[in-house]
Parts: sequence; C-alpha cells; structure tokens
Amino acid sequence: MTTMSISATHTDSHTAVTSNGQSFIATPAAISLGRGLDLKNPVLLASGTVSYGEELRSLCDLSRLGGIVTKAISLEVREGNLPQRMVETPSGMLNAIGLANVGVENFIAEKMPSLRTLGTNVIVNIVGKGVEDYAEVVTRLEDVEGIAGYEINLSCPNVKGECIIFGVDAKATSEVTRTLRRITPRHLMIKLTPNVTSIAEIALAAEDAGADSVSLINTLVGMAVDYRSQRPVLKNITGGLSGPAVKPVALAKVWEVFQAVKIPVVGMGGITNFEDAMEFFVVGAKAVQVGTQNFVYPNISEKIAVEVEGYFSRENSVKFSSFIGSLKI
Amino acid sequence: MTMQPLYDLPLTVVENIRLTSVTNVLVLDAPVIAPVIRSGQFVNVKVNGFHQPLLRRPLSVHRVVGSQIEIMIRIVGIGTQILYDAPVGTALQTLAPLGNTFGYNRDDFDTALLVSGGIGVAPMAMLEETLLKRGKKVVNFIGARSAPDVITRGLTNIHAATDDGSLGFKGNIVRLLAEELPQFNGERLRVFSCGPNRMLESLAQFCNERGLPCEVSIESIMGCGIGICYGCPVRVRGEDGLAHNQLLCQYGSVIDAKEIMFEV
Repeated sequence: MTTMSISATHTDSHTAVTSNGQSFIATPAAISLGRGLDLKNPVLLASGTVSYGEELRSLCDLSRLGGIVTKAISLEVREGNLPQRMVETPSGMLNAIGLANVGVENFIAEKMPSLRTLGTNVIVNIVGKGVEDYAEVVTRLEDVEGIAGYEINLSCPNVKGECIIFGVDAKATSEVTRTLRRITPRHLMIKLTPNVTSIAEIALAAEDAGADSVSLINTLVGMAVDYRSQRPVLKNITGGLSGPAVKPVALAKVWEVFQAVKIPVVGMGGITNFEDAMEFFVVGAKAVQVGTQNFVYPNISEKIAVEVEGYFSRENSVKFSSFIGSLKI
Repeated sequence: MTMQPLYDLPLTVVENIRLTSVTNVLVLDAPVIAPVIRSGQFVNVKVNGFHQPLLRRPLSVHRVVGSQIEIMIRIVGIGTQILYDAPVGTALQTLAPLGNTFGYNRDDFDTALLVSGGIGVAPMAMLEETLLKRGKKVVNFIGARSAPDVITRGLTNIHAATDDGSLGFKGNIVRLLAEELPQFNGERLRVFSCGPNRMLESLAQFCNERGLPCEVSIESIMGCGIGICYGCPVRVRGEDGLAHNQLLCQYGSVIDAKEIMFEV
C-alpha cells in the first residue's frame, strides 16, 4: 500500500456496498464492527428509544446514521407494563416499559418493509424468556433480508423473572451467545447491563462465546418514590435510569470493558451531543448509540453524526481509528 | 398516528399573560404551526436548553390567533414553573402538531357541552371557537377548587362549580352537569371534556350510563410525544372487550368515553 492510498482512505469519501447490500459511504468516520457490520459513521440509534424508525424518519434523516437498533423483539406480542411507566429524574429519567413490542412475526410483516428503506444498517434487538426463545427469534429472522446484525438484550431490568438472569451471569451470557453463534453468520452484538459486580467478566464471557461486539450500558436500576402516598411512582416499582445523569457511569464501564476485550465496544449512556460521543470514543467505544436524547431532540443523532464526520474530515485531525481508546493516563 | 407533517421549531414568546399566581398564558409566534394545528391537538415544549428538566412538556393549545398560538400553563413542577416565568423573547423549541383532534367535525350533534376541570379549560377556548364556526351551540361547565381557580378565558355561556362553593354550584362538575342536563332535553348533545383523571372517570361513567356521547382529552406523563418512548400508555377497551395498552400521544389525546378505562 502506498502512502497516497493511505491518505486517500483517510480523507476521501467513496461508495462501496456492504455485505448486507446497503450502499456504504466511507466517510472519514466510517468504521467496521466486524462480520459485515460496516458503519458509514459510528452513530447508531439505541434500542427502545426509536421504536422501529417510522416516527422519527420525518424529523431526522436516518440515512445519515451508522445504523438503527430496533425496539427489542420477542417471540410473542408483548403489551408491556401498566402505567405509570416513566418518570423524569434529575437530568435523566426512569422507565419500566416492560419490552412492549409487536412480536417477531408482526415485526417481519409490518416493520421490516419500512426499516429496509431507511438507508442505514438495521440491527434487530432481541429479547427472550429463555435460551430457546432467543434461538427461535434469531432463526426466524435469519432468512429475512435487510438485517445487518442482532443486538442481544440480556439485561433488561424491567421484566421480572425474565432476561435479567442472563445478563448478570457470565455462564448464562455465554450459553445464549454460544447458541446464537451457531445459528447466525450475522453480526452478534451482546448488550451488557451495568447492574453487575464485574461487567468486564460478562463481556469476556460474551467474547469467548463468539460475540462480534458488546454494547453498553443498558440502564441502571433505579427507583422513584412519592413520600406523600408512600408509593413507588412506577407501577413496576423499579425502572431503568437513563439520560445525562448516567454518562459518567457509562464512560467508566466502557473504559473498563475496552481494556478487557478485543472485540469492538459500542458505548452508550447519556449521550446528548457531539462532545459526549467523542468522550466515548476516547475511552474505547468504536461506535456509540444515542438513546434518551432522541425523546428530547428527535434529530439529535443526525446532528451528532454530521459533527463527528466533520471533525474527522478536518485536515489536521487525527484518524478516527487512532482516536478510539486514545485515553491518556 | 397523525399523517400531518411534524415540525420542531423554536417559537418565540411574544407575550406572557399572568392569569393567576399559578396560571398563565404564553403567546408564541408560530407562523408555521398556527395554520395547521387543530382543536384538541397538543405541542411538546422544551422549557430551556439544559438537561434539567430533561424532557419536553406536552401542552394543549389554548387558542390560535392569526400566526400565533397560545398555550395555558398551570404550575405543577419545575417545567411549568419555568414556563410561567418565561420572559418575552424566549425561544421555546416546540414539536407540533401532535395527537388527534376533538370530534368537532361530526354532524351527529348540535349542542356541545364543554366540561372542564382545573387546567383542563386550556383547550376549550379553541374548541369553542371551532364549534361556533360550525354553527354549533356551546355550553361550558367549569369545575375548580375555589373561585380564584375558575378560569374562563375565551369561553362563554358558563356554568361553574367549585369544591368550596365560593363560585357557582358547590360540589363537583359532574353533579352540576347532572342537575342541569334536563334543560337540554330533545337536543342532540355531545360532551367534550378535559381535566384530572378522577373527574374524567366520573364524567365518562355518567355519560356512558345515559348513552350521552362523550370524548375526553387525557393528560399523561409523556416522554417524547411522537410514539418512540412508549412512556404514555393508557388502558383502552379493544374490539375484543378487553383492556389494551395504547400510547396516548398517538391514540389520543382525545379518546371516546366508551373506550377509555381509567382503573389500572
């Protein structure tokens, strides 16, 4: 490789086609997460904050993003928890939605056609009650076109007696990952909960079992209480904390996991703007997901993506790949 | 889900009218939204540019006057306090138009009974104007705790009820409606309502028992206003007769009294 071609890859954009058929603009912030999940830039929409993309697309150009992670899909239709499901907290919010979703069959029939037209990578978030559920949903999706990969939700804290047992246990994480690895050649991203003693240990278990990447953090378990009525604010009693309030925790966890694993780390937790995203890259995130802030500014992910691309396009700027994990200690 | 185009625009406060020590009206310059927003729809407003409070505040439209929209606010927390204090010139990032409309275009009624409680009067001024333009007769029933809380801005033909009896009928607004209903005998009625859930529940029950058509505009905690956060479910009776979750921001915020189920 000549010096010229190296500099060309760094500064010029060119079109290519990814393994999942999406046209792929190699912007200066383009990055591959492996196994065909090639992102035009490292900004993704986080699961559970964008439904299936239909509502956002009129307010935000989703084709400018690296990808969208759908609402968690389960085998069966889920109505979710009873109200009250969410409450605002200082610089954040708690939610206990309860994985409301249309179920895998309706997802394929009603949601995938629109998702395919977004012009970005579609990563389907998957949740199940047991290993068999996860396996069945992925198997059902395997011959569905337009899916770039799966994010496996092992860590939703808001459904009692269900997925939480996987995400907090290295052995269970390993079992689910290994099972799905045997089923799919597609990208497998394992989403990690911060509600554990050692998140690095869980991340390592996922890596050893064949995960292509890990994403973190899912929400932190929290609670809101009304002292007048002496009742919990949320019907579910506890919920998941997200928003700017959790960013320092997320940065610490991403840094911890980045040091422990070799596979790509996808960071999230309280990202509200370009600066927040850049902080996650510094501590080792190869890509980021924007979540709660979509509720506040529906076009925020597009803005962040444009600014990240702009930053790494500047003549004197560092190469994006060398910026990842560049924390100086 | 509304098929109208959505806008997310900074709207400038051109006037802040203090009605009481806890209630005000913000007049917003909204040349794009004013012509397209309909009675019963709402807007979602970011009260400042900071992370605290984080989420927007869903607010019904009080009136449309030319290229301006008016929103009525009652202080209930930090977000509404900031809106109560908003200086003229403030730009408020506003997502609109959101949600469905009141059924003002129906031709199966001639007399509209507008029943509101507390800050539930907010959307009634626009509704009254819309109905009068369509040649409907409009009668207002307004309930509040006490005389100073009775807000009648933009409303006519008013029957008031207060909990302490300091103005109008002493007691709740549904009891007042029950007392006055006979005078509308023979008229084709429709009830339009907005207020606290407890009032709406009692009103819906009253209307359903009498076969009186009624629609309620419901208030809820909301995250996004556009159906992506799933934080605002209400219980609605489905075609199977069972209760199902529907997102208020998409399914409502106006719901038929026969469908809505308040008990959770």
